[in-house]
Amino acid sequence: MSYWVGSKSSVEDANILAYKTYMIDNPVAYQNDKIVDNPTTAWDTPSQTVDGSWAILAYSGMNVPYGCFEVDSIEFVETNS
Amino acid sequence: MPKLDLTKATRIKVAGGEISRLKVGPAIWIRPIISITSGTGYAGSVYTSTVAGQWYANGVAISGYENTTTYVQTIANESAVIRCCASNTIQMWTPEALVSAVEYLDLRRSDALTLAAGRVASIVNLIGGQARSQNTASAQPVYNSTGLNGLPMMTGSNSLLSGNLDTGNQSVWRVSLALMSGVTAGRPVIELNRATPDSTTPSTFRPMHVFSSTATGAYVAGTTVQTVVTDGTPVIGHSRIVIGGSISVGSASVADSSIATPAATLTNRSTVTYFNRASGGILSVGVSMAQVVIGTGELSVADQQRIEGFMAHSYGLSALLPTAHPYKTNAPRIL
Repeated sequence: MSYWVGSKSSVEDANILAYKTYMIDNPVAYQNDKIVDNPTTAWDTPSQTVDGSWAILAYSGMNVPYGCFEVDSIEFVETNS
Repeated sequence: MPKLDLTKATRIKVAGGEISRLKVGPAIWIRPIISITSGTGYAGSVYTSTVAGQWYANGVAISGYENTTTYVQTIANESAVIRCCASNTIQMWTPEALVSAVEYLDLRRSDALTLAAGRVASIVNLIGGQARSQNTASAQPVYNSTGLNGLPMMTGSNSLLSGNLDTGNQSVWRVSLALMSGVTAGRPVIELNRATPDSTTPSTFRPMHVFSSTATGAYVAGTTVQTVVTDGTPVIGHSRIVIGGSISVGSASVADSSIATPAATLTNRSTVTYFNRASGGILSVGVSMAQVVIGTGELSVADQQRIEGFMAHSYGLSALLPTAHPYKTNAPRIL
């Protein structure tokens, strides 16, 4: 598991790009034997890291998007959910 | 009224076929008797009848079992009354029979799942009908069709499935069949709710707390409920239940101090969340889940044991139940 890190806007753009690629790769979902449209609406949710940058989970198979760099682990700012 | 004298009949047809020979004697009707001859009664178990005939589930003829002596139980009929012709009946106990239950998730129920790219995008509450959904791909739990004793489970890591749950102003309990792989690797666990904390609990163990409402609507800390591995070994992580706020199942990184904080406001609608990462980015342990039952009010010991028996036997894990458990050998039944 790796992450893409960058500025907030770069990571948001990367997230949109990753979602588009994800939907091309996985256009449908399965409900038992029935095939339906994939209900997924986003690849990830950008989160702020402890050093002030932003990050999302990397989409496997994609090149690192412009403005981002890839790391193997990351420490997020703690938020209650 | 005309009388039928069979001794004078020359030709008799029954159902289009001609009977060539008659035996004279008293009519004997044998009532079929059914029993469970393989398995514990849940999906995959074999039911056998002493006489071949049509099998029924809740009075509805089961297709494919029109004139057979055996019937293989399906998950769709798991809670149904099963019989063969006019035989005795068998009905297994399932959480759907528990009137106080408001939520029942079962990963074996593929008809309740929506899978996207091998992950669980949503799972339907089999009692309330609401969907527990996650629309963000990276947060969807991973589905593994043979993950727990050859049967399905889902694994969350930094994942959330959530939805609303009407609980009213009541205490809420939950029992789940889960696997905390990051803490006790490879050990399937059934979480037992215990009124008295185990004295051998490690200091790092974080119990689940239940908050009960008072007449004035304020919440006070209720009974401490402990999560225990079924072989008696104290465990692992914790979960929490907060009335009127959120119900987190599978949480594993909440600080003890935050567990003890009851919901600030009282509402009739709670949000149930699975694989809640709580604080920080990632669950500190991997949590896998196969079945969850959540209910309101007080969970009696008898019902708690029925749930545990159901979970253990439906997943073939009865060996993990304590020796003294009432459903150690046989699964709970209604009929």
